[in-house]
Amino acid sequence: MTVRLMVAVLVAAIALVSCGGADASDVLEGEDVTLNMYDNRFEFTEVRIPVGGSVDFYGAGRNPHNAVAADGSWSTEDVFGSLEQYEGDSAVITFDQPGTYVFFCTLHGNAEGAGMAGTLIVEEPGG
Amino acid sequence: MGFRWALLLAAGAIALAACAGPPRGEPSPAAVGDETTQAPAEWTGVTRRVPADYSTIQSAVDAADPGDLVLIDRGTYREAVSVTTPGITIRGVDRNEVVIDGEFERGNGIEVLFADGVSIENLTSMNHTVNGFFWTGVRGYRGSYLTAINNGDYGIYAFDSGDGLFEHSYASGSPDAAFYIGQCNPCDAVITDSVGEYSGLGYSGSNASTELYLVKNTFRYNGAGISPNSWDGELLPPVENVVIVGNLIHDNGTADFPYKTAQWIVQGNGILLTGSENSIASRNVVMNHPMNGIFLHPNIDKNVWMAGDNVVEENLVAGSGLADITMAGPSQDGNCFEANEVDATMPAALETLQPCDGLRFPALYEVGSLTSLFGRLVERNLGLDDEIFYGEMPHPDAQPQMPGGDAADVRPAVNVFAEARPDIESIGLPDVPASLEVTQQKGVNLMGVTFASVIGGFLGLYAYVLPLALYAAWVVIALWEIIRRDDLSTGAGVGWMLAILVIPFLGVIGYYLLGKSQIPAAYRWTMLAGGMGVYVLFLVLGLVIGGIA
Repeated sequence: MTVRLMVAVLVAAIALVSCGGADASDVLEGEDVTLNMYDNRFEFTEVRIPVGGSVDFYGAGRNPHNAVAADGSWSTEDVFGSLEQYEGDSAVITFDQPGTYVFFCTLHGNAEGAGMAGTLIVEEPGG
Repeated sequence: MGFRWALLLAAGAIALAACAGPPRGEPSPAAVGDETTQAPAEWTGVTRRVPADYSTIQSAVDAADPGDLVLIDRGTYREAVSVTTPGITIRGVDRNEVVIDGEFERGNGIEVLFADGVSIENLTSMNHTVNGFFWTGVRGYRGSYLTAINNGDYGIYAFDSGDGLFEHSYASGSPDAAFYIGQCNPCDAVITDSVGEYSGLGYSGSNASTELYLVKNTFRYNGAGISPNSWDGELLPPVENVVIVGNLIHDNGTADFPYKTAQWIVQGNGILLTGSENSIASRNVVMNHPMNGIFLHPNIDKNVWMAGDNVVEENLVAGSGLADITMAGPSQDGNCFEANEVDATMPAALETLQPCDGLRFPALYEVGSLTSLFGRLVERNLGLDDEIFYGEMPHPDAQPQMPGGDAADVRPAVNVFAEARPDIESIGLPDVPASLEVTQQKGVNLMGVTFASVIGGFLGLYAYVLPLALYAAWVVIALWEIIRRDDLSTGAGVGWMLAILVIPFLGVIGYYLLGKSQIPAAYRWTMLAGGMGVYVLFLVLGLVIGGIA
């Protein structure tokens, strides 16, 4: 295999991995991650970040959305100023305490995890 | 370019194409034909009265067991109701005087979350920031004799659900759509005997496919009438197998309406088949639209969804500003048009060239009409539109009550579609009210480019009409020069002529660059690169401002 051929294969592989295929995990992991809010679901149903990491709850649908912790401890409203984020609206929340949070869109889900909902896990390093 | 570099580009393109699919996630089983239901088929016999037994609708709903009736007395209820108990029926004693008012503060009037078989009947929901009535993730839903007024997203809305019916209902003042069914295949759903008006769209259905019937409805005074559409933002594209029969669709795009971007773009059209496949629009009356009566067109999203194999027949279409029926491309083949009563189509002679029976041109379409959509998108992104607050839309007159009122049979929404599936063959053209006359005059257009939108007309001229006119000039000038040249043999002259005539664009460009044309180089370059460069610049600017590139 020549260098160019290897580059071709590598480019395709990187592009496929970076864009995420249909078979990818439903878990979003990273230190500072972006979670798209589609109509009417979160792109990932589980998010894992380390303590000190952040989640950008990003409006990616035509309909308004938000993300609110079922225990009431945080909400995109706290940083965005409204429970209605439309396409292109962003709400970045930094999490400094470890914990597991069920979150949901108050417009298309509920605190019991029905409808548009997910779980955020904020982990201690090495946790 | 070497083979391996071509391979590199191809690999990248394939990888990008893989990225372009719909976003991750799975539809609910209810939305893809799973007939399992948690709802009981019969009423329990228990009635929970609001406010006699429970002070709020929410408290009655929370107390209800599957199969119960929640009966609401006259009054204004300032709440947002969330339902997670299957099989309950929520009924108002008076459609016009039982009102859930969101006061432009609360999201949904009534939301039904993953609770199968919930019926909502005979009441009004208004002034909610999102939806009037909303079902999601359910098998079995019914909305009967509902009124939804001035809600900020949709009036009456079912998403990711199957086995449903909206009947004898009214919705107005929603920026997205009065009625919406989305993300299901098979939907097993019917919307009938209902009215949608003063909204962005009368009906919208993204990726809502198969066994979906829109029959005997009226959609008027919206931005556009109805739009089954394929869209990458929700699961299950493309939209297919939608049946649109016996509807009265008129005067959309002629009055003030609230809207979002998509609705602003498509304003002035009656029936839009937006990237739709295998759908039927038959025996509808479609009147008074500034753009097109019936408009088949692609939707350019992450993917390009092209209309194909649609049947448009026996419709009465009149009073269209651009054309009564327009087939815009690129399209798939198989679209057919027959026995429609129309004055003009685009392309012309559509019924002759694309009949439903007999020989058919493959994928006959035009593209000029798309420039108006493009122009509206640019207008919107530049903030040149005048946004209208949905709360200011007019309220309707009192709407008809549900027969039987509070004593009507209580029926959880189980096997709804089996009972509601219409006999399409028995449905004819709708009656046209005597007051409804053709008022829309045919507008000016140039190769499908209209000037209803100033920017659309500008872009259409500079990015579509003038480039074609310039190309025609290139060809004429080149042929004229070849005829007059003494330095070319007859064989060489004929060869260049054939190249110019047979190979679009490249033939004539090749002649000017390689054919030793005697036109001074400065003129040739001005003609080739100068003119086209300006037009391409306009196109690129439009794409960037429009957010497409």
